[in-house]
Amino acid sequence: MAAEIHLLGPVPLLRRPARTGSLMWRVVLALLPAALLGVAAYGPEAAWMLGACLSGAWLMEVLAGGLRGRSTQKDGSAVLTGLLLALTLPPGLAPGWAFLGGVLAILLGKQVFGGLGRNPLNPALLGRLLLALLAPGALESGLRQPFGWQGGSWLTGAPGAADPLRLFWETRRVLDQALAGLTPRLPADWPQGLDRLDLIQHAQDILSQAGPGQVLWARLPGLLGEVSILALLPGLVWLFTARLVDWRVPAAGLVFLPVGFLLASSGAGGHWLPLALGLRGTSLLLVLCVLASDPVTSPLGQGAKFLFGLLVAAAALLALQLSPQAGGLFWVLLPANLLTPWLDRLLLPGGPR
Amino acid sequence: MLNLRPRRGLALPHRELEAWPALPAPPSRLLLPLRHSRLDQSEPVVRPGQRVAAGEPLSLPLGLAARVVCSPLAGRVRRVDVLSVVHPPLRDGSPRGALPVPCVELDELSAPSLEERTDWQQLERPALLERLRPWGLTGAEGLPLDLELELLSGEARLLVLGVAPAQALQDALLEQVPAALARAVTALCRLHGFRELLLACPPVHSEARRRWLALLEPILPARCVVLRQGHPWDQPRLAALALGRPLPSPRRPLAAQGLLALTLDQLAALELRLSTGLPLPPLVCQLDDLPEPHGLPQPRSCRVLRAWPGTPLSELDPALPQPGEWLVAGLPLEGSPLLEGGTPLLPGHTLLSRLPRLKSPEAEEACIHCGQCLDICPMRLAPIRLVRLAGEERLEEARGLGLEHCVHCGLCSWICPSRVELEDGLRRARQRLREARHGG
Repeated sequence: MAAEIHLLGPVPLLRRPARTGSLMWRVVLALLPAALLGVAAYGPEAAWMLGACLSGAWLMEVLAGGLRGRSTQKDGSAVLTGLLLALTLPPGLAPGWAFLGGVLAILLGKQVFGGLGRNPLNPALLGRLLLALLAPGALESGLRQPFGWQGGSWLTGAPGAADPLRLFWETRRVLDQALAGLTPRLPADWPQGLDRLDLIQHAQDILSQAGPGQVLWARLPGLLGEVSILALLPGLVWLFTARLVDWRVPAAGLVFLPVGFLLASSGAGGHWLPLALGLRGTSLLLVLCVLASDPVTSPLGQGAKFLFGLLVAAAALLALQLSPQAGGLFWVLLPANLLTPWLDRLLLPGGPR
Repeated sequence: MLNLRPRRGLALPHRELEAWPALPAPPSRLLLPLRHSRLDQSEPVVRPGQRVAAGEPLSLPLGLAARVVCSPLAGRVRRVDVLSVVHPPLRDGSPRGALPVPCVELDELSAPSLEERTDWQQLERPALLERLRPWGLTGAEGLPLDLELELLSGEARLLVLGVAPAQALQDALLEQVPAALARAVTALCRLHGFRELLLACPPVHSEARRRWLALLEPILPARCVVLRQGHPWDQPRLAALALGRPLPSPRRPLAAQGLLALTLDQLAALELRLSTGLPLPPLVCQLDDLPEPHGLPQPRSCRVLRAWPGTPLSELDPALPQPGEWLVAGLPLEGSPLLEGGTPLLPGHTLLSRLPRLKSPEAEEACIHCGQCLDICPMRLAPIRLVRLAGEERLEEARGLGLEHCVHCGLCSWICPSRVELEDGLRRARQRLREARHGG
């Protein structure tokens, strides 16, 4: 008969590894400058929107934790979800909708699947998608002129609070058709009775307001997290150097971007892409470095991570090229999330190499 | 005759001698698993009925990651059998899996003479180097390791370790014996009190260097620094070493603490606590009858328990361990928590530290797919995937993905931010796989 001896156990080691909660809170810390700059740029309205997203997500997490008999709000994941949701929303969105977005993100994005670690889709993006379905008008009308609250726009001739992405899309179409010798159908707010040369001049005047400088410092209305890419970069650099976020997904995406840009530029609507990138560049970085790198909804294997990054970057470029919708950039990540298990089955390394 | 006093970094102040308590007779039987810590098993080389001297090998390594298991006492081999090793329960109290391990049971035990003691942890430096050399370690610039160590003055705090004898050998070492190598390097660091470890790797071995660093950094108290051979920045450091000049980051000498350290693992644990600020160990368990004057005086800083190997912990002190405390034995790399009073004390359990459990047991959370278990696995497995496959009863698929290559080092469980008990899951999976095959 086999005797039993009690012998082994886990090994006490010197370093205490990071825990899920500390990882989440550190990502929150890294994104905080971008959120604070957004509040500074858009004023009290943005602060209300941010607060509503955070409180909606946090209260839903507390409620779900109470129902499950297990408190999970301290792990920071709900706050991170609320913060990410706020960064991808227009700053002037009514607090009620923002609160609902936070609640839906946690409830339908995470808790219905069993909580953190079991959600197949990114909760913040699912929350944004649901808001766009429930209240498309509220999202559209929530855009504000950055720094406008401090006493009027200092950029004369800037478009109002309309979505500049849609505005530039329309202008680009008018310009293309006018240059091709066709008679374009004009947007409603354009002056009537312009001849072809006037149309081209007017379109070029509008398009000249966009440019790569928009990524560095927003002059046109945008989302809360899009005020400046400079507010996002230090936090991202910290996340990568501290190995809090895996570098493979963003690296694959960022390496692909120039290639993808060249490929897409030669296609239909390709000359529209630089304008779209100038407006949504900061959001694209947020998608690649944070949202697509979310470990729960991205693949586990290293090769699969690279492929996932490529797919997301390609889909994001395609969305920017094809659609004037501000949210299109974010929606492409949701189907990519659904591909994650398949990518892992395909590419996750197995045995010892 | 062997001098058993630790040599370097520890010059104990003379203390008033106190009488040791008398030991009862040696234990009647002793059960020795032929597998040290989490390394590979070793193959028994003794037969039932055979008499063995203290220090005589009972087994020889079955794989590169195994170690020779020697008899701690003189005695007779009663049986050689495969026994079930049961592990301490999980944090929530639920039982864990067991693995069959070949064991040797000894009886008719008697105390060894001093000359018979061959525990490598008590060896003189030449003998220790003789043991370490087969691991393939060399000194910097191709020097033999012993020559390299001779270059180090008493004040030196650097170990210069060359890991480039031959690419093929190095690859084999990194692939197959990472835990054993780390252990050997740890022992060297402990022995000499090194605060920095320089890995001397030619640039072509950058991948090997990265893996060495990834392997050693989390577990060594010493700081790992890569020495780029021929790089101008590192030459002054080598010169300082060779000339015995003082180097940066001087360490507070252990002697100033006036502590007792009988063996290397005790020294190691003491240094761990000094360097990390953990409380000093209040208990030292001496598992032999080391007589005066070869033993050390009874210290005032800690309590010494004396017993024979195999004695259950509860016989030494029924109050150990107290509720809410964690009793840890052995080197930091190998140390195992002794959770139950019935745990037999074995060589290696010579130092017992009572650590308070600062927090309530941490609950396991859902995996967040961070992939850190894949990155840290020395066998380059995908632990979370193997555990999931086993959970879905796809054991053969898990076997095809390397389940049986797991060395149960526990690093995956340690690194997991969600505290998933991966190593235990792998252990259970292997057990089920074995049962399934046996049943088939």
